[in-house]
Amino acid sequence: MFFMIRVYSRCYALWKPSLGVFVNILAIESSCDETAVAIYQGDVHTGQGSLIAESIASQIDTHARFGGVVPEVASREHLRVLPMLADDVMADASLAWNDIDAVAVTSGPGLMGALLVGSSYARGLALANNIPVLPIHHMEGHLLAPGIGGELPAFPFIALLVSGGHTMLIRVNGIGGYKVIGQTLDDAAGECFDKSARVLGLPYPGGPEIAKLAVHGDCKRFKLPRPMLQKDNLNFSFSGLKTAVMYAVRDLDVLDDVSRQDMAASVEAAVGEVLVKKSLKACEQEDISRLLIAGGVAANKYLRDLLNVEAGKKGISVSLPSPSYCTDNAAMIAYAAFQRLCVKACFEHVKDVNPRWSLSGLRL
Amino acid sequence: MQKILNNEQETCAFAQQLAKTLKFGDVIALSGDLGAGKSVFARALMRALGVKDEALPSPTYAIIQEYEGVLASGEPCKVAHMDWYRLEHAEEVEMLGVREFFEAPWISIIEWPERAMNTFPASLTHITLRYVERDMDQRSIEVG
Repeated sequence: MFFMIRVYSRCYALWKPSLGVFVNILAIESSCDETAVAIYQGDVHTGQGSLIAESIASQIDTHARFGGVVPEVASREHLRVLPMLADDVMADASLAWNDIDAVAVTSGPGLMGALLVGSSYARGLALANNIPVLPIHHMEGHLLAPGIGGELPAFPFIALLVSGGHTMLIRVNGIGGYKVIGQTLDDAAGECFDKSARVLGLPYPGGPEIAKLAVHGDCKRFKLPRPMLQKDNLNFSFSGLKTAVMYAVRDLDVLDDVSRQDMAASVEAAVGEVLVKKSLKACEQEDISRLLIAGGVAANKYLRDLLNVEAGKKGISVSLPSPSYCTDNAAMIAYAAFQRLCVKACFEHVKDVNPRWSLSGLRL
Repeated sequence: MQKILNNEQETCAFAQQLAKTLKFGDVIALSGDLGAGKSVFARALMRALGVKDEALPSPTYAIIQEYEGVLASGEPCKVAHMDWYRLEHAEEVEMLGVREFFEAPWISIIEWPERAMNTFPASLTHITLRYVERDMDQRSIEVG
């Protein structure tokens, strides 16, 4: 009886769209500082499909002078560029609005105002064209991104999701089956890069700036901590690392270019080592030999190279999205919607948006 | 009032004392430079308020993180941990609807409150943290 009630309540909260076999999905992403629109075309019976158009506008230049995303500025910018981007992709794909079967949109997690712009625009499009809105979880988009133009590893696999706002290890049992097995207890890895960059006087976003400088730096000059590596769990903590960077810089007589390069290399090495070791530990603990990394920090070349080498030693295969699908984009949102349609998954009834939508709460 | 906290244990003890005095609608504003210990203090205060979540993620990107806690009286409360660093000015703070957090059942802990000091209600505790030269663990704390 208890079981039946649970099944009932689950179906009550979710719904399944009825669409044809061959679908064109237009997707919108506006959860943070990238505004993006993309169209994915595919056959839900065979699971074969391809990205046919995408357009993206970054607000990084707008936000750089504030040292980070400014929520209100972000919302205004999304609103300004969304219609242009949508027109662009429709023209690129040579499609008419009645060719579009569904609108997928990032409904969370993210900044409330920014999400609302994308969601309202998606709802408007859907209403005007009498097609459904498919609310997509931003992190599910990141998780499945290596499948765009490539192939997803076989289920189950371990995913390291690492960005400015998130650092988590997930056991992916299937589409919609995500178990968070490790997470940051404080700052995200990308945030550590951003804040270390600020200490070094580098602009936002910090990750790419640090990567650029680190190429010529000596990663052994500064002895930075490897937080949580000795702990027998899969959690992270990067808040103390940023503080260690700050103290090391304060103890220098002068912060010259060489010191900046050496510090950048030292931070990158510290963050990289922790991320790689914890990811491999997760594979070992769950007895899974397939690892995927995604999110903005997954674009970091040092991390990608280190992971390939270390995983290779343990016979673990690594899936990486191309760097352009590591950062926020709409292709991954369209692709996640397509994957859900392929396995006949349910979609959430997300009332407008959910800025704190939990990944573990997703269902098939 | 100004005081020296010699290490993280003393910071936690101070946070526990402060937590005992808190009531619905109270706001704790935390000022201090990057690395001065605002987040450490905020987390200590959340623990003292009975927040049980294992991860207390940085609110730098999300701006507001919400938790369940308990007041010294035993009444359940909600705790909002905010970081206004990325906000530009007072209007933006208003647009986030922060005023609802300045009433029952909320206790608000706000880092980088300088963005909108006029937004606060009368029940404000403003704490400034500073690091002390040549001692990595020591902090000076000023309550005003």
